[in-house]
Formats: sequence, structure tokens, C-alpha cells
Amino acid sequence: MSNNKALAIVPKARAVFARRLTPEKYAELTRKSSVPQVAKALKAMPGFRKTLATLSEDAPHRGQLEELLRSGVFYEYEELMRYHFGGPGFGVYFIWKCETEELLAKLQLVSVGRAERYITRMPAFLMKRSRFDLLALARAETLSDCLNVVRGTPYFETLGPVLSVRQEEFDLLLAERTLKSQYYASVFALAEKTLSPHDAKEVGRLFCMEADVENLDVLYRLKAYYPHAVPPAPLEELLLPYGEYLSAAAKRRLCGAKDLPGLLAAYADTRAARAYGPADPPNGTPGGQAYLAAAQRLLRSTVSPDAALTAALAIEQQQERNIIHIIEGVRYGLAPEQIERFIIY
Amino acid sequence: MGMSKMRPVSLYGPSDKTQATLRLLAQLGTFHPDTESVPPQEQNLQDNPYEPLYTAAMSTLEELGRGGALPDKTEDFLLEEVKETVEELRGRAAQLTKKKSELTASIHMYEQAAGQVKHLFGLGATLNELFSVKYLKVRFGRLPKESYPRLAYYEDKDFNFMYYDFDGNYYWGVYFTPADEAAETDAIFESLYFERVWVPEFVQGTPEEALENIEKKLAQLKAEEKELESGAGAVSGQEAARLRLMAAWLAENDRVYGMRQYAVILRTTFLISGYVPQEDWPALQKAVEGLDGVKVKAGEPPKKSAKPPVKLKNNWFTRPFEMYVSMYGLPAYGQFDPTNFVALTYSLLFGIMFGDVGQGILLGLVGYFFMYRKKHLAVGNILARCSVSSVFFGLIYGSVFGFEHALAPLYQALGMGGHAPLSPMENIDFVLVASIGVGVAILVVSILLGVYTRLRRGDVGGALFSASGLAGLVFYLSLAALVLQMMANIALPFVGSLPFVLLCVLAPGLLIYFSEPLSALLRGEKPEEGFGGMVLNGFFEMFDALLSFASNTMSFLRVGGFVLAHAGMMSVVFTLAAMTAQGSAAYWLVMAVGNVFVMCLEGLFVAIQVLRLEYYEMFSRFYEADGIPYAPLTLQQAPGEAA
Repeated sequence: MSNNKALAIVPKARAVFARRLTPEKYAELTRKSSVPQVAKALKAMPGFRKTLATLSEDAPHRGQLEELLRSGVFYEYEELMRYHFGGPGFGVYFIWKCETEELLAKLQLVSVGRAERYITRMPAFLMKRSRFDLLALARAETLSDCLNVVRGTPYFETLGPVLSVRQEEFDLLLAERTLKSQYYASVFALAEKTLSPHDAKEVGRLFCMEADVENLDVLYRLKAYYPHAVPPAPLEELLLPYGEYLSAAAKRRLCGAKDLPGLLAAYADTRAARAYGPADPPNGTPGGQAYLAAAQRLLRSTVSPDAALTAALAIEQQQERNIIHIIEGVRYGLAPEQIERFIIY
Repeated sequence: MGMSKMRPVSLYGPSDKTQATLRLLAQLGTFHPDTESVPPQEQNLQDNPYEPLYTAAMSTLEELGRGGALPDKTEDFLLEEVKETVEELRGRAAQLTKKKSELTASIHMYEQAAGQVKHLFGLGATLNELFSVKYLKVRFGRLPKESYPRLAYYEDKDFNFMYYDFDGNYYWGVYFTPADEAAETDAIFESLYFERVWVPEFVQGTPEEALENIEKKLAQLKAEEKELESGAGAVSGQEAARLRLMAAWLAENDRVYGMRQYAVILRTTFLISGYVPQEDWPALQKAVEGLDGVKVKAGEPPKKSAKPPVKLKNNWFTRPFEMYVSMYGLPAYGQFDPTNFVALTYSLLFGIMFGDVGQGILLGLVGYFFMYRKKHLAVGNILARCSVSSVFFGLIYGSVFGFEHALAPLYQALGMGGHAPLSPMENIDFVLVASIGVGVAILVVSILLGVYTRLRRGDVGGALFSASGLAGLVFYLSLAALVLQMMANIALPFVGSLPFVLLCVLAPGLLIYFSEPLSALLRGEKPEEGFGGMVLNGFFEMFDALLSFASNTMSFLRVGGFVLAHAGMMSVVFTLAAMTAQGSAAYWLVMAVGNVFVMCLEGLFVAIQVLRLEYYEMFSRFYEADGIPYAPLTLQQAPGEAA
């Protein structure tokens, strides 16, 4: 059921891949000594010149830089979708992803009593595409305000139980798990509906690997910094019910680890460890490299426009994350070697 | 030999005459300094008074807008006078530069203001009025397009943003806010990444009026800038001309000063040695008489161990081919000059491959009159000589601009039955075999030359035992005879018999195999390697020798190939011409264009291919280019550059 009218996306998506930053370029960026220098270097690169056109060279704001990088990925998505004739099809998943990220960002701010700060990160590029009013979301001050904003969208039903509580009872982790589970469920349903079985399987694998990485990230953070905050059973409920290499039994064992060393020991024994490599705490959670490699392989080998789109966007988003790591590393004065450990390419 | 006889000479005198002596030698342009026995004396180049002044003079001329090529001829100046003039004009140039940069900064500022003011068109008020408002704060600037939609969030705040221009990335405009809320509003706009634009004080009135004033001012500033660029006012034409003469004088003296590296300069005396061509010695002797205290002495003819420079000297016909020899490298002094050999073989092979009477004549005319006389391309002179051979072979092939029957009456009159002696396309096999034959003959001559040159150099072992020596010659000819016998299916006496194989193939083969140790023994030395090393090295030597004999011989197939290619290309031209009406203007146009095309293309290819044969097939057999080029000191060249 793949959309053959959109075949032009495949070479376009591969062109996006070809324009990605090389290891040498990353190394050059890590050697900058200030955020303005990083901004200037990025502005000079052809792939970022248009995206960062409104970034001041004299005194670039870090927040603005990050926001523009996000918008760059979105504009890349829109460029590719122009060749998706016959309706958005599977490509609409990216809008859902952006919506989920915005809702989570707002809920995080509401949970710490900083609801008014959402406006500084509200993405103008999404305003016309989102299914709910982002400006209204920016104005929302309470959980019930947020719930009202998503009335009429699929989020209303899912978030209803989570947001219909008092502020002090609000569980952000549960909200995150709920939103993301809904996102993944929607994506898999969409894939089944709009893609051929083969493409759905290819794309599904990528999303499952992404879910694995997210789950490992949650486990790592909790076991490293809050080992006793969440008992194993509730923790298991907080994990996404999807995954490629992390089975339900493996998740159970990882949730049962008492602390970080216990988690790492349990992880080493899983199929995920064989697929994603060993966990190496200073270098972040495992899986990112394997996920990116899978996206690259998919992009190179697939002839499906939707699969190519998905893979290209995954790669672009990784690049965005890499650059943000560099910005943060430079800002906090980390050595280039330390910053490079967080870069995945 | 094809080279000028060199006379070793030495000049010496008081050290304060060094510059004058070197200048004289440079003016004569015949003295080649000896750098083999006297290494460059870099320490003599210190304290050069000319170079810094020359640099200063040139940069002054650039700053004054009077740069460019210096005059060829100059006057004589005193160093002090030059120094004073350069310093004075340099000071004036520095002032000019300062004025220019101030002007540039002003222009930049006004241009920026103009750009900003343009965005404020439609304001509908004067800027003075806006800035004089007491209870409102006014902020001009630009808002990124990503932030503009966020303004709706602040609709309940006390400010009003109006934009006048959108350039695709930014909304240029102004916001007003009550004075007592300015801090909060400024913070909001800062969070939206609003960039304030500070309007310069000279921007007055409405934006339209302000722009008009700015543009007037800009025009005035740019006119001033243009005047300064020309340097007018800073220095007069006469002063500039004098400075250019001084710069040329400094350049000349700087070059002469650089020649001090060839002299040995002690506290009170200097000494410089070198070579002059024998025929230029009397002129040098006479010229030095004019220098007080400086003496010149001629030495004995150079010994074998010395390395005089080489200046090729050949006759009128072969002289242009010196270019090809120089490109490869010059022979050592006293050694064999291959220019005559190149002239003969190059012309012969070129003619064989480019045989056509009409094209040959045209090539000669174009080569000589256009390429050589007008464009000063030395290769034109070579082509002129090759054209003679081309015409000759054109007569053999019977081809005149590709027409193969144009000379039929001539052949008829000569009793040849109206046919050309050799028609390439009708004798393809013969052409190819003959080209191999020509190649074998040339290689044999090359090897014989190799024997001769080695004997002259004293390398008796190489002359006798090497693959390019007598052993190689016998071996090669024997193999050629065997191949000829097999391919032509003829029985040559003695060839192929057991004594032939033993004497003419095996014996020279063994001599080649062990040429290195045999040469060492002949020199009275012990071979460096052991038996195993000798056998291994000999194997590779033999392998290389066989391979090079085969490849060098086969390489000459290209001669026949190009003969056929020429004929083939002309047949294509005729085929195209036949598509038009015979004898019509179009027909002759196609013929003319086709001939020119074939001439140019084939001429280029043949010239390159023959040169390749010369260098790779022939020179490798006998020529060692280890000569030092004759590079006399001159006023026009930097030291060390060959003439």
C-alpha cells in the first residue's frame, strides 16, 4: 500500500543524508570555545545557512539556536513532504511526534510552576499544522487548562485521567508514558493502515528500536539518580510497551535492579546488550548508535518513500541532538574529547 | 660537439668594487658563476640596502594608485637620494591611506544607516518627533520571523509593535511602550530575540527625507574616495614617474646584490669564479679594464672532474630542436649532444606520420610565420623543419590535402604508371611492418650511440655488457632476426642454428645477466653482492631488458598507426564532403574545414607522439642528462634562473 506517487522522496531523502555533518565537521565544532563561535561556524556551513539566517552573529542566543535547529528539521520534513502526492499518508506521524513533544514540554513546565515560560519555546513552524492551538497551550496555566486545549483531539481521552488531578498529585512520568505510548500506538496503527506489510515491518523496527532507547534512557536515569524513587513494578508500568530487542522479561529484570551497577550487570545479560553494545555510563545510554545505523541502512536500501522519509528524519533529529550536545558542552567548558563521546554519527 | 667551449675565469679586486663588478657582469650577460666548487655564500646577502627600499617604493606606488609594471630602462641614482625620496613619498602615502580608511569607515556607517532607514518607510512621522515623545518609549529594530507569531500571546500587554518591512527573515519595525513599562516590554522583546537598531544622530526628519540626505552624503563621500584612489593631490605625475624610475633602479641593484652569493667576500677583497663562452672572453677582458683595481684571469680548459655549464651550439637547421633536448635535460659538458640526432629522427618520424604535400607546406608556413615569428613560439620553428619531411613523404604517399590522385600526372611523367610509390590504405601490412623496421633501425642506432657515449664517459663495462651496450645490441639483433625468420617464414643463413643461439643469444644474454659484477671487475673492484644477490639482480635486469626491448620495438607501431590514421581521417573528410554537391562552395568549405581540423588534431598528436618516442625509446638507450644549464648573470633575471 506504499505510495508510489511519492517515489521522488527517496532520492531527496538520500540527498538529506548526504548533506549531514561529517565527523570532521563535528570535531571542528567541539573545538570552539564559545557558543557564538559554534553559531558562526554553523552559519557558515551551506546546510545551515538558511535555517540560521535569523540568528544573530554578534550575540546569538543559545535558546534561539536550538529552536532554529528544530525548525530546520521540520522544514526539511516539509520539503520532503512536498513530493508526497496523494495526501500526507504515513508522513503525518512526524506532526504527531512534534505535538507529543510540545505537550510534554508544557506539562513539564506546569509541573514546576513555570507554565508561562512555554511561550519562549513555542514553535511558530508548528502553529498551522498542529491539531490543537499552540497559542492556547502557551496561555494554559493549569493542568485542566492544558486538558481543555487538547479537547477534540485524540489526546483528550488519553490525558483525561492523567490531568484530571490536583497539581500536587500530578505524575509527570505517567503523563510522559501515556503520551508516548499513545504516540507509538498511533504510529503502528498508521503504518498498518498506510504501508505495505514489508514497509510497515521495516519502519516498525525503527520505531521499536527508538522505544528501546527511550526505555533504556528512563531506566538509566532513574537507577543512576533516583534508585529508590520508583519500585520495580510501577517502574515497569512507566516503560513503553514496545521494543525491538528489550523483551518484557528483560525489562522486568532491569526494573528489578537495585541500583546502577545492578542495572548494568542485568543489562549485559540481555539480547539488547548484544544488539546495542555494552552500556558505558560516561557515554550515555546505549542504543543510539545502533538506532542511527539502522536508520542509515534503511535509508540506503529502501525504495519505499515513507520508509525513506522516516529514516531521513531520524538521522536529521540525531544530528540536531548532536549539535545541541556540542552547544551544551561548549557552554559548560567541556573538553572536545568529552563532548565527542555524546555525539552519535 | 654541439656546445660552446667554456673558459673558466676568475675576477678579484677590492671589496668595495663588488657591486660594480657584479653589475658589469650582469650587463654583459655572459658570465656563469661557478656554484659547484663555491657553494652559495648566503652571509653576503645580509645588510642589503636595496631590498627594503625597493619594497617600500613599490608599496608607496601602490598606495598612491601608481602601481603596475616598472620601466625597463632606468637612470643612475645615488642611494642616499633614493632613500630620502622614498621616505618622503612614503610619508605622504601613509597620510593618504589614513584618509582613505577614515573615509571607508564613514561610507560604511552611512550605508548601514541607509539600509536601516529604508526599512522605516511608511512611518508617517519624523524620527525627531518620535524620539521627543515624553511618556512613550520607542524602539526600532527587527524581529525574527519565528518570533512574530508569539506576539499574539502578549496581546494583553501595554505595547504596540508595527512593522514596515519584511525581508523574508525579519520583520523590521518599531514598538511603543509606556515609559514606566519599558523595562518589562524590553524584556519581552528580548525573549523574542528582537534586535534593536540604534538610529544614528545624523538621521533626521522622516525616513524618506533622512534617506535622501544620507544618499547625498554618500555620493559626496564616494567622490572623495575616488579622488583619493587616484592619488591625485598626494603626489604629482612627475614625482610618481621619478619614483618609478627609482624603484626600477632599486630592483636592478637588488638583483645585482643577490649575486653576491656567488662571490667570496673578505674584509678588503672579493673573488668570484665562473665560466664564459670562449667567444665572449675578449669582451669580458676589455670591459673589466674599466673597473679600477679589479683583475680578471682565465684558467686552463676545464678538466673532466670540473662541471662547466653547458650552452648548446648547433647549426641553423637543428638549433630549434635544442628546446626538446633542454626539456629533457642537458648533456654534461664535453659529452655527446643529441640535438642533431633528435633533429634528424624527429623530422623523419614526423614526416612519415604526417605525410601530405599540401598540409606539410601549410604547416611549415603557419609554423614559421605565425607561431614562431608572430607569437614567438619556438615549436613553430620546429614544425617548419618537419614540414620539409612531411612534404617529402606526402610525395611518397601521393597525398595533397587528402587528394590522392592529384599527383598522378607527376607519377605518370616519372614513368611510375600514375601511381604513388606507396599508398598507405592499400598497403596496411607493409606500413605496419615497415614502422617496426624503422623502429628497429632507430633503436640499433640509439644503442650504438649508447656504446659511444659510455666509452666517452669511461664506462667501458656499461658499453660492453649492459642491455644498452654491445651485448645488448647483439642480443637484440639476434632476437629480431629470429622473429623475422619465424614471422616472414624465410630461412636466414646461420640464424636459428645452435652456434647462433649460443653465440648470439645465450652468450650476450649471460653478459647482460651479469653486467653489474662484470663491470665492477673491469674497474678493478670486487662485486658488492654475493653470488645469490648477483643471480637475483641479474634475473630482474634480464627481465627488464627483455621487456624494454619488446616494448620499445612495439612502440614504433604507432608510427604506422598514425600514417593510417591520417589517411583514415582524410577519408572521413571526403565522405562528409561527398554529401554535398561535388565542386560546390559547400564541398570546398567542408574540405577546407576538414583539412584544418585534421592538420591541427593530427599535428598535435604526432608532435607529442614523436617526442615520446624520442624520450622513452631513444634517449633511454644512450642519453644521461646530467649537464648544468648555462645560466649567466643578467640584469633581468633573479640569481640562479637559467637563461
